[in-house]
Amino acid sequence: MAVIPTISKKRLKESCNRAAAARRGEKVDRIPNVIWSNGAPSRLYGYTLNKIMDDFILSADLMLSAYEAWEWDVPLFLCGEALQNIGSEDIGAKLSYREDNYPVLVEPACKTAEEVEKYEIPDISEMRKRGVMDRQFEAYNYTRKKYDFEPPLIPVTLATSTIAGNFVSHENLLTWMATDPSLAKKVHEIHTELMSMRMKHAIEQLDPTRPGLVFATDFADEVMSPKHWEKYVLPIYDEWAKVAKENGFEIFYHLCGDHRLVFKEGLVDRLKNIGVLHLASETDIKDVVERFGGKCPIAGNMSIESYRFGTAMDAYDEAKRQVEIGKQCEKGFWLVAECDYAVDTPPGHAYAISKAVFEHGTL
Amino acid sequence: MQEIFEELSKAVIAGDENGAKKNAEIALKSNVDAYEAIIKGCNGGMKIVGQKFASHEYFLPEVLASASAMYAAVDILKPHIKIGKVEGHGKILIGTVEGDTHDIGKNIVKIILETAGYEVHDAGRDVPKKEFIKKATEIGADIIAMSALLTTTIPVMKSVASSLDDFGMKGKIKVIIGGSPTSPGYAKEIGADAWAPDATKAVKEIERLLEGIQKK
Repeated sequence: MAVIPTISKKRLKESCNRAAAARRGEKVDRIPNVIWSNGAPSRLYGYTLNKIMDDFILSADLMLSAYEAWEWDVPLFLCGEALQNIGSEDIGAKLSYREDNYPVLVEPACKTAEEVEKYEIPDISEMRKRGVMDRQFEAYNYTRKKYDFEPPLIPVTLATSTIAGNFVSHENLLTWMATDPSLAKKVHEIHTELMSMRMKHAIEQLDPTRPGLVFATDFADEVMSPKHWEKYVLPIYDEWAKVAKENGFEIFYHLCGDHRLVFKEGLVDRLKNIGVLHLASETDIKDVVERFGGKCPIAGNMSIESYRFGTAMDAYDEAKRQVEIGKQCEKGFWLVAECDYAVDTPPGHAYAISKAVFEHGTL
Repeated sequence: MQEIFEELSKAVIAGDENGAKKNAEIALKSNVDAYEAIIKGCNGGMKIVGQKFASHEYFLPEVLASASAMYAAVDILKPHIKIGKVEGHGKILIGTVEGDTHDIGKNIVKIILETAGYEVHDAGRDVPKKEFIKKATEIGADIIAMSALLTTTIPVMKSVASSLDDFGMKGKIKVIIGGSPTSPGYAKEIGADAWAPDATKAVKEIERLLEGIQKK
């Protein structure tokens, strides 16, 4: 295992301040380069994902160090990025943690309609025992104190649809959407309530800081219609946005997967309390900026095809294209890969992205 | 008889499980050939479901409901099929790779392939490399179809493709991959024979691969 180099507090602070200012729509010297990943840094230093999930302090240190080496600006998912199914255990699903992989669902919390009817929402202390939520807040607060900066974002719930699916199994949930909409609605309401409790707990732990709370929905058009999305997903976000706003937080919306139909139908416009809007690469960044550039800060969406499967030059070109478009955003722009930066991306591609930002992202 | 097929088909399209069961029973009571009822009623309905899915009229919830209805009818009809009637167009082993339990995409491809008349063997999700090779050999698969959602799990696809080479099966068994972190570039890089961005295209690519195998 490689030794993790020392981290420059000064640079980190400057970077985070830049990203925070850009998010507020203030004038900054250049577009912030806010790629997120725990996986790629862990691979760089020879640690497994499992190891960093068990040790969030290590996760934070190694991630910040890799970001510094690559000259990325901000650790977007400072803690717990690896927890793709974050929240699933809190609600009673059983996950399996395997070497160098994200956790996977072993058993949903409920398997039948009867079990859903009988399900009793646990109190927050029970959820805390089951899940990982406190570990990430510990890591957040550790990082904040050790490096004297405020991480601009923290994930509260990733993979919203996956978590709802993990509650009763995806097959059940999706089938019920067609055959028993009231049962599907009930599942989503339980999910909303559980995650709202989780979010309130997060807010208490984060006080007095006010990082952006990251919400992610992980699929849309591939699976459900815009009507389904409007009926089942949007109300979840409405409720969470309300809780966040009441407590002075904004939301980083990460709409992962293909949301082109949802976008086309104007449903993204109905998201509330947007801190940053981040759509996956299926939706062209030009379209996103055209529609939302004057309304809220936008996060870029470099596709895995452009930075991982292409050459370093492809990564450079796409980063350049993104920052050039991003400069037109009135409310601020961050360069971001569309999602979790692929673990096996050649390190040179990470530098190529930074190079493009330094050469073309100056404002 | 045509009316019975149409009613069965309608129930499948509507995702009406009870209606599908009822019409399967009616078909048997009316001495309709069970195999024909499956092909013209169930598969006929699922073909339309596939078209609706391709045109974004239907999404996965409706497709899953239709599939449940289809399977309910097939369960009733299948024991009555006369031996020797079923002809497979090609054997496909499908699975989500090790470390990944996101199998929605895999399931939809499976359903659409089955409706197109292929013999599909589902290895499930979180399938290790060895299991893919073992099952493919056991069933005499023409194609291995692999799916993944996570960037961390796609190396398993490469490992399966390389193993085919090691076991002298490269070319005999074709490989198709799909899922969000995959791409045509990645398919090429790992030596897969095809890549598809969605279920409808996956079926077309599999048809193309099987044509290639049959021509040889």
